[in-house]
Amino acid sequence: MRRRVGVASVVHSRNAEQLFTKKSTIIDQNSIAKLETNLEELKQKLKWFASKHQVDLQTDAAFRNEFLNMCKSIGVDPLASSKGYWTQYLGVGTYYYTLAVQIVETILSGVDRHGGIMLLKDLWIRLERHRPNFLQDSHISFEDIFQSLKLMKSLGKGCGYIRTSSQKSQIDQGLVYCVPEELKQDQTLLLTNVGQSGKCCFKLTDVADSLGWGGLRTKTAVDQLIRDGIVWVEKRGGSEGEYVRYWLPGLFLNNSYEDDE
Amino acid sequence: MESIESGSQSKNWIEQFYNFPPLFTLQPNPSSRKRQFEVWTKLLQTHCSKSNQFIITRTEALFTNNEISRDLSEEFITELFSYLIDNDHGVPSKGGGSPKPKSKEEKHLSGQGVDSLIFWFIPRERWYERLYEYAKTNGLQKGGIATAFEILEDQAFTGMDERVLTILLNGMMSTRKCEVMLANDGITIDGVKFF
Repeated sequence: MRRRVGVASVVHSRNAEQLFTKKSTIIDQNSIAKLETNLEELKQKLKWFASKHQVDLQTDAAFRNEFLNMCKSIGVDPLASSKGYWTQYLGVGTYYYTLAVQIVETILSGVDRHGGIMLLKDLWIRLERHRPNFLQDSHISFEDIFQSLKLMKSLGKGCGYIRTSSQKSQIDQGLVYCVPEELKQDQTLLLTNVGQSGKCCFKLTDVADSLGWGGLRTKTAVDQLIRDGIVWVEKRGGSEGEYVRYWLPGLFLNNSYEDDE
Repeated sequence: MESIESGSQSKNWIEQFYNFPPLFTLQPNPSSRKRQFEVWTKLLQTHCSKSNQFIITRTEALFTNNEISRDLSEEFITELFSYLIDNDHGVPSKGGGSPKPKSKEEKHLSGQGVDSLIFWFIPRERWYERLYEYAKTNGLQKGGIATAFEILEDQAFTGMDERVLTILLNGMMSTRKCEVMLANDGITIDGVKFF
C-alpha cells in the first residue's frame, strides 16, 4: 500500500477510527442482546425447572442437596438473598428460613434444661417430629440443618454447629448451639474437646491436659460455660479431698424428649 | 461414678434429671439453681401425689438416690425447704420459727431449722376447690356445716390429717367460701361452715 502523507493521511485514519468504533458498538450491542436472550432463556428454563421441581425441592432432601451442589459448582448461591429470584421462584430460601426458625424455637424451648446446646441427633429427632403438615413426606437432612445454620450466620455468632468427630457416621454426635451471646473461642474448643471424649462429664485437669492449657485458662472457660447454664457443677466433700466434676445436661439428658407440660 | 454416662432413653426428662449428679449439688449460677429447685419441686410433686404424702422431712427417701449414690446435704435441704416455703409449695410443720439472724448481713432462710414441711403436692388453691367441691356434693354450700372428721373421711382427702386440714381451711377463709368454728382450746376445729 502506498503510504499516504499530509492531510489525506490524517483524514483517512480518522475515518477508519470512526468505522471501527461504529462496528464495535454494533458488536457490543449484538453480544449484549445475545446475552440478554441467553439470560432470558436461562430464566425461563429455571422457571420451568422450578415449577416442575418445586415440590421435590421442598420435599426431597437428597434432591435439594444435589441442587445446592450444582448451584455451588456454577458459582451461584441461592441462599444469598432473601428476596432474590431464586427464593422467589424456587422456594429454596424459604425452606431454609423456615427451618432456621424451627431450629431456634426447638433449642430455645429446652434452654432451661440444656442451656442452649444439644446433640444434632436430638435436635433432628425433634425437628422431624414437628415437621409441618405440608412437608408430610419430606425428611429433613443434616445437610439442611447445616444450610440453615449457615443462613443464621448473618445474624451473629449465636448459633452454630460444633463438630466432635471427623467420621461421617458420627456427624449426629456433633453439637448444635443457640446462645444469647456468641460462644467464645475457648468455650468452643472446650466443648469440642468434651464432645470428642464421648462423655458428658469432665475434670478440669482432663481438659487442661488434652488441650495443653494452663489451669487459669481452663477455669475461666469453664466458669463462663457455667454462667451460660451450659455446664453444671458437682461438688462433694470426701475422705480423699474435694470431688469436683463438671457436667453438660445437653449431653447427659436425652433432649429429644418432649415436655409433658 | 464415671460409669454414669447419660440419662436413660425411656425416662421422661424429669426422671432423667433425677439421675443427673449435679442435681444434688447447689448450683452457683442463679438460673441453674432456680431450675434445679423447679426440678426438685416436680419430683416431690410426682412422688408425694402417688402416695398422698403431705409431710416431707429432712430424711425424705427421695433425697437419696441409690442408683447413682448421691444424696442431698443438710445445707441443700435448707435451701430447698426455703424455696418451697417462699414459693408457696409448703409451710413449716415442725421446727421452723427460725431463730433471727445474728446480724443484718446474715442471709435469712425460711427453711432454717425446719425439720419437716407440709407440702402441697397440688397447689393450695386446688385444695380449696376440692374442699368446696366436697361441700357442694354434700349440699353444704349454703351455710351447711361439716366436721373435720367428716371431711377427712372423704377419699378426696386421703392422707390428710387434721393439722393439714386446719391450715387449708384457715387459708380458705380469706376466699370467703367458708368459716372455721374452733373448739374451746382455740386450735382444734369443731366444724366448718361453707358459703
